[in-house]
Amino acid sequence: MSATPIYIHAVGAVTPLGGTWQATVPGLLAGRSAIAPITTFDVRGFPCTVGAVVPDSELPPLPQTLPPDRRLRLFLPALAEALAALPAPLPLGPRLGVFLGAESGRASLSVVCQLVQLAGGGTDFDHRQFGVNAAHFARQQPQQALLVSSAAVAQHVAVLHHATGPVQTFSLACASSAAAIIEAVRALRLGLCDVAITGGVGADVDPLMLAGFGKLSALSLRGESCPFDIRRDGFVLGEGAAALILSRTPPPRLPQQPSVAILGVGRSLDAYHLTAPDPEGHGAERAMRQALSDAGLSHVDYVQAHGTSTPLNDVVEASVLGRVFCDTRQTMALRPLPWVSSFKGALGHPIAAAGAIGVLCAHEALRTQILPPTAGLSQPDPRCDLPHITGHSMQAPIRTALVNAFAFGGANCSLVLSRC
Amino acid sequence: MLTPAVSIVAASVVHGPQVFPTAHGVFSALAAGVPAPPVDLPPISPKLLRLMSPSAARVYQALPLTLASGAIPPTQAAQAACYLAVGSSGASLPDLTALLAGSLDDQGAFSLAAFAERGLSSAHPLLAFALMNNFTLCHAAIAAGLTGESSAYFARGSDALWAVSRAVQSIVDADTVLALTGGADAATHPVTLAELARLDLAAAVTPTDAAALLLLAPLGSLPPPSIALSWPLLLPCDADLDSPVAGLLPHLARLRARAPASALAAVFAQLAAPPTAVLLTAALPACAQRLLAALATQAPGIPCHVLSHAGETLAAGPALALVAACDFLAQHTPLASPASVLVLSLGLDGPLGAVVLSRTP
Repeated sequence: MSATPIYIHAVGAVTPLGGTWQATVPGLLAGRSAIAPITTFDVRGFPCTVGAVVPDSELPPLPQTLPPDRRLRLFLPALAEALAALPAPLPLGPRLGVFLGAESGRASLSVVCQLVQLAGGGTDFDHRQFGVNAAHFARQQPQQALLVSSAAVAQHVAVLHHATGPVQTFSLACASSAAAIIEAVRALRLGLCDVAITGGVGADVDPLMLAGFGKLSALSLRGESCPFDIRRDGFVLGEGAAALILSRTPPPRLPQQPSVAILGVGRSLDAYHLTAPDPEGHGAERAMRQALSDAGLSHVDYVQAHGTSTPLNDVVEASVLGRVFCDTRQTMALRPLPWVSSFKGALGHPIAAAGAIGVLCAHEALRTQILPPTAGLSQPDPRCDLPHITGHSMQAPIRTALVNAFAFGGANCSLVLSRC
Repeated sequence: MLTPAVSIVAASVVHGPQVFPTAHGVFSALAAGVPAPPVDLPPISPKLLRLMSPSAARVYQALPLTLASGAIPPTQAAQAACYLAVGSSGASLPDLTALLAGSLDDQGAFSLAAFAERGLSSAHPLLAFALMNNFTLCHAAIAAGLTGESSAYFARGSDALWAVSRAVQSIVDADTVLALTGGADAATHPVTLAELARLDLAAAVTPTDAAALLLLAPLGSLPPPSIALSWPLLLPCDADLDSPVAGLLPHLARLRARAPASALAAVFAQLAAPPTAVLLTAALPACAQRLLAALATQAPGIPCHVLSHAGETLAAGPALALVAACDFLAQHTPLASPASVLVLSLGLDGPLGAVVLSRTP
């Protein structure tokens, strides 16, 4: 028996392919990629010099009352798109919860370096002197030094929408927003709130992360994201935001407008390695099976894979998908493996926003019965032998979908969605 | 209601230079400044330490202590869930210093070109991960082989109780029979210090690095006298939600003006019986004073202890107070009598948190 379904009432997004989800979808379906040379800062000398950046021209300016936090600039328009699609206003007060995935905002690299200088620049840290120096410095740069709280986005959203129910921020690297959606689902099932604003934002195309991931050799030196392709050599940093409005109550039934619900959720930890997935994929498999079990299903029609384009992740995920759904295929003759695609060839890897954008892709596919392709995938790796969708979108009658989000550090999240 | 929900199997704390392998001594240290006896910790290899943020290192030290004090074998630990409140992570000062040294131009000014040319090569390979908050949890979880569900909840104070709440839920729902929870933070990190300084809080608080962990199990699974933990209660102050304000934490601008009396009344309405004592941890002395004044009206005659030697430990604060409450129940109340402690936390991030710990003989 499945757990209580949680309905997706509205969605919105800001991605490198469009300033709204509506504007993003045509590009995704056409297999376009937004990955391009980074021009927002000087990338000469960096191991990887490309990214998927949301053009500033796509983003409305933030109100003067809000700090110039890139995460807010990305998330608030995404949320506005979702709210505009709601037939009724959000409830106010304690029955409205906010569950967002976000990593820290980033003090600029030069600010971090100046702070270190203020601390003496060595290992002998004079806190008292630092307090005096840093206060003076920070006052001179009223916002820069402060844009580091992961919670800032959720707290601002809570304030703006008078949400006094649960307000939580999940920092789980690439699985942050998937974990946030899962916790929103659980809070709604428990009755902790009636409506949840959820999703996530990633704004990591900056020198520190480009340097950090580059040093780790996690980024593509070829400058291309091509999940499950034999040529893949790493991921490409992206940015973006996705917002969802969830409720236990089904949305009003409209002609030609099927609703979509989250039926099952699952999470696990690899406990294997800081940066590499467990080569056997045991943790990922537990998360997927838990989500399927929670949904009361043994099979789905479509998978929006984590598919990062790293050599290790894709082969492990493909292997686990084969195991999870092959079991079913053996017991239920003629059931094919689900169709698989990943948005990261088109949008890069938006880290904390990745899981939520994956959920939006699955939501769109379930609603429209049109499945997006994996941009960049033209020569599938034989070790990733799955029914990939390549080139262009395809039409298929699907009723259920699985979304995966796996994080550096080994946190795994899976969600099962269904067309209602 | 703030009634027993789960049992506490074990707890441990790393607080600044002090280490508490069990809850013993934590109350005296945090409430009265009684120093902990020296404890030898297994050293972290310099190579591994370099890959950790300061708060990750503290969790790495505290987690095996918690499992050891609960006598949890590795096979059982592997099944445990882990829900931890974490603060901003951050690269270590030596790493940042090396990065800085390589990123200055000929005039001594920071230069992105110099960063790419020289500073980058001085950064360690896991720099990006030291900056991500969930790695506070990952290092220790991997070392201990925890394969159950895990999550890092960003918090700056009482919001850390969401992590505890999720741990309680996982036990009550029978998703797991063991759940680690608590919080860790490194308030002395340069960027956090700068935030506090800018908000004029640097002089009012003593930033302290800490990790506090509790291991939870189903109610009744331990022989008496065991200590039980209630579901946490988080009560936002409506006054905090007037309008958005500029700054890192929207709530912070109104912190000094907060009146917790109505939230406190709501907490007491959830109590099955008056507590033996109240433990209080608050972000600012002024907040603690206002809460004390409200308590004097709400619950006259109930002893109230302020954990004034805890320092500002941000995401670790509420869990520190919970471990202190375990110690208080074990060391400062007659074991033959029932006793309970109401733990109140009022952090930089907004709500008033309340949890009841109780012991039945």
